[in-house]
Amino acid sequence: MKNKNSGFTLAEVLVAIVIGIISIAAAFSSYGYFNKSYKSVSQKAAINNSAREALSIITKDLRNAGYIDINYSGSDKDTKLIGLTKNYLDNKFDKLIIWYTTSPTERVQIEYSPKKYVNNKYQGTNTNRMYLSRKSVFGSITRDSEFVPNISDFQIVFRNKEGAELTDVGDTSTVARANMKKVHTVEIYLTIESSKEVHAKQKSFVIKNDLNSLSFSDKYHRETFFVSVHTRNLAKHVALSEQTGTSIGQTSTYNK
Amino acid sequence: MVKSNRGISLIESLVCIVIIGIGFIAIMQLSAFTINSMDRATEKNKLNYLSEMVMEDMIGDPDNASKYGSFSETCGYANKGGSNLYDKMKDKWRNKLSEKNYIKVNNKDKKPSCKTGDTKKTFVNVGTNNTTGRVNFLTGTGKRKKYLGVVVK
Repeated sequence: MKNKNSGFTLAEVLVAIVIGIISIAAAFSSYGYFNKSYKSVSQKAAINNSAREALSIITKDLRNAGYIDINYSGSDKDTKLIGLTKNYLDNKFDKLIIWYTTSPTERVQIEYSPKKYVNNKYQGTNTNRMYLSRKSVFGSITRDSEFVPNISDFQIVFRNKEGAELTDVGDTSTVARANMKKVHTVEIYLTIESSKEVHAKQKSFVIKNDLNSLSFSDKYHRETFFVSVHTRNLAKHVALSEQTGTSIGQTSTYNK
Repeated sequence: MVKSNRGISLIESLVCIVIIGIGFIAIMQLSAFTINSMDRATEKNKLNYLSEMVMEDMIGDPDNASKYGSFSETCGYANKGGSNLYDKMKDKWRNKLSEKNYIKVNNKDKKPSCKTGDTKKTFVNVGTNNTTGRVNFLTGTGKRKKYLGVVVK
């Protein structure tokens, strides 16, 4: 049996080692890259998700705001509709209160307010991190929950039928109570930040919601969402004539 | 038994590595694409709320609904002023749809971004039986379309 074992030359072995090292380095760096992009995508998805869920509930509450059941007979009938506390926290962030009846005898009170974290996993060494709380008072049941985690800003603007801003609204004074029924549009700015650091380098942010301007210089990712809702049960337009609606698409040029 | 062990030559193996490398780059791009599409999803989410804003404003002022139509803006927004509610509302739309607001990162990366072809339009159709309003929002150089319509009255 003849067998020729010539093996590798030194040059071949060296080249093979170099190629091997390069491919291992590529695998390592791509692992880091994928890890980073996974982190960034999941954080962004979380922001988007919590914004969508939160805003759909906030807009639903706003559309109900001030609704009074035709048979509701509480003494607070016209005194609890909608309220706003400007500069509620840190002289910067606002608080929103909404009331509406859910049955002829019951009325629910809902409060949206930014609050600071106390001993929370997101908090770390930063004592200024906030969440948006949703507190509902229904009869004797009070529920206070962390509604939107990690927010940077929460601003509310009430506008009347003329488009002018209303600031003194709520169940606090005669003027404020009279203003409740003048609220025509509610605008909400909600800025959400990522729970963990996303960016590799520090970035300078300027967030300008309504009149409030906030500056940040950190590695968190932030997104601002804006909603504007017509409060149907408060400042109603005066209908000139009642008209019956017909289905869209039959008579109109909708989507053509 | 004569056995010839020729194996793979250096050139062949290098070519092989280059081909695998090209595949790797494609996978890297996939990852970049994921991040990009996540950003797009957020932008669309924001635009959904902005189109709802337009609808809400029309519903809130149904007797002047026709005044809310024929809004057509490209990227160069400028407030037009006016004392009527619809003038103010339209200026609000201009403001919210413009890219100068929201977050600025190092004074760039403004959102929502606006490129050529991104036209924002509203239409109001006053019929005999009803009044309908709709929005056509184009983003991503006019490629992505957002339509929303409601019966205002």
